[in-house]
Amino acid sequence: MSVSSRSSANDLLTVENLAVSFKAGERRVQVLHDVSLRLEAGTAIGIVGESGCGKSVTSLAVIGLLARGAQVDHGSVRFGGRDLLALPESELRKIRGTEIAMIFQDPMSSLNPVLTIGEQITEVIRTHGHDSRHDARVRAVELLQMVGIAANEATLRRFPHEFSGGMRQRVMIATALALSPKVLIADEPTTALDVTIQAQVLELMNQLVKESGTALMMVTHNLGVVAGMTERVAVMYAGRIVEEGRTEDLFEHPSHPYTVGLLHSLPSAQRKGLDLIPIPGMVPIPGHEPVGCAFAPRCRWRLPICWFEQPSLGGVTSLADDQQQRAHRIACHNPVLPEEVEVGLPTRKFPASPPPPNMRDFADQPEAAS
Amino acid sequence: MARVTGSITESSRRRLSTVRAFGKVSIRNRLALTIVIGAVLVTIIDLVSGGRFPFLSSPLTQNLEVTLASPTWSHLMGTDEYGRDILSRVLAGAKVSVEVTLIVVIVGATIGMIIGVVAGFLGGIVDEVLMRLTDMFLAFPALILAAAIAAAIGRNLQASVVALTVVEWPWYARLARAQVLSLREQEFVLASRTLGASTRRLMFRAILPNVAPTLIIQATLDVGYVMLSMAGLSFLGIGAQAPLPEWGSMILDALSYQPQAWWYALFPGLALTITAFGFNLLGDGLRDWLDPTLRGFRTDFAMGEE
Repeated sequence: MSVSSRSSANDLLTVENLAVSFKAGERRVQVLHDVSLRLEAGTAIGIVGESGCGKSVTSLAVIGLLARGAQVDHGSVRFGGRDLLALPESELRKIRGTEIAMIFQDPMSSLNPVLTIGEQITEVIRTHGHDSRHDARVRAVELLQMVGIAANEATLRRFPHEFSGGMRQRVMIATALALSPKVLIADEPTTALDVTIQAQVLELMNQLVKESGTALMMVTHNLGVVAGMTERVAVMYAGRIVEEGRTEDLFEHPSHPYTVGLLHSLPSAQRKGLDLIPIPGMVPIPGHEPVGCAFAPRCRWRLPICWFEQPSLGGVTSLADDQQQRAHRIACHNPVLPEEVEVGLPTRKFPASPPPPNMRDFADQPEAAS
Repeated sequence: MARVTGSITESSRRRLSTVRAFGKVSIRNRLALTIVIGAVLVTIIDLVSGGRFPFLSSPLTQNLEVTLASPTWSHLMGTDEYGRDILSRVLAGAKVSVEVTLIVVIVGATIGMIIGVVAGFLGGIVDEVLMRLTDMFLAFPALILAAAIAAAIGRNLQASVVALTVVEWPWYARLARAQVLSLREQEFVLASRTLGASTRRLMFRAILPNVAPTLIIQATLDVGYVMLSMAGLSFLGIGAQAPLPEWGSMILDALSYQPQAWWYALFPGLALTITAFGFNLLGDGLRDWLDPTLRGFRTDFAMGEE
């Protein structure tokens, strides 16, 4: 595929044509369709989309911890020359924590409530290393200080409930970075925090990742978080990547109607006084997507073809430069034009494209484009 | 000089706060502690003195001149049909009851916890097999099953210990499994897997410490129940055999002399009730103490301090 031809020697983690399905009663429902991503050493990629778009499934598939009933149908996850999907569990376990680590959304529930934070950090250090108990404790204090907690030996004896949400997330980060992994996957790491704490934690992650050369995979529904922190962004919708490119390109020339919709759903100081333009409807339930583009029922730019044909991921033709085209890919039959981006609505006239008779059950219809 | 004084004040203040902390232990907990410490003391005295309590006649000594005597200064709880001192027998009975009960509860809870955690965590066919086995035991009324087992393998104290353990563990297995099922889906379990924890480590470090407090509390609440079941078995004549002093069998023997010899049944019954009650209170206290979130916040700690 196109991805393999573009992959370079710098690639640390390469996900290729990954397809994952879940067991739903008797049948299998596909939740990821041909997801391809690449993460270069020391860089950050953002994976953006609404809840239920397959962001978390992608990150769990990478680390080999899909829920029961989920299976990888095809594709590969290459890390350091090995296909992680082909590795036995015992090998994967050695990679988790040491090479790839992960932090989660809810700091309230991602620490074990009955163990002290010292036990939880030293456990990770001692699982993989051969440090003595004492060395591990010294290292744990260092790690906590690194994430901005004024820590000493006594801090290690505290329980998670004695910490605030922001501090627990710092503890999580310290635990995840304990063994200096090459890749850190952060699944909505700041969603559960106050905005001021969000900014602190993001800044901290940014700084630590830059200092240690850890590559970051930031899974979030917040485009604002991605803007300041990542080199590349992949926008996901209904288990597919719909737009992918360098962060500047994607924010300067968003081309997929879904990306434009996400940007206009976000209140911002620059667009003060302008209306928010919400995306109507909801993410389709896996297994109940339309035949064509999964976004068609909610799309203001849709054409009749969108109902029947799945668009493939390719270069953005509206961009002048050939190289730019290749670096920025979208999956859309009718990309948003640069002049429409600011308005957030189509300015051209399209042929009316109501759902075809056999697809009337897609009730979420945006007002007819006129 | 001033520094020395300072450190003395400091240490005495700390000691004072320990005393105050003990004072804060709720009245319920102090009552529980008193009863449990009492039961343990009686057991220790009994062990040390070889079954004979100071100032009392041996629980086995018969004195046929004072059979079924009502309480007097020389026999505070009266005597039984062989003239044995009931106070002495009640105290000696504490040892039997407490020992048997603790063995049954500890062994039963441990077996149940292991089976429940393994079944809940591994799921699938393992879960299915272990839980159907558990259901088989739960399908019988507990006391009847225990009586049948005890009667089958020998009508003595050891047999009733085995029988009660057999009917005890399934409850713990069920409880542990239910806990594990909800714990398994918690984010911290997934989080420790992403950090490379093995299945064994997850079971013993992430799951077990979270299950244990609930089971320990259940176990202390169960102490009363097991103690009564044990007494029940002895009462039916399947448990402790004469002349071993045991509260249940004492009540059984006393039945023939009711209502005239009220002291004969009353005191063993009271001892049984109070001890069971004490362990129930202990369960409440343990719950407060085992849950780290109820142990109290330390507010001296904040970011940037220390």
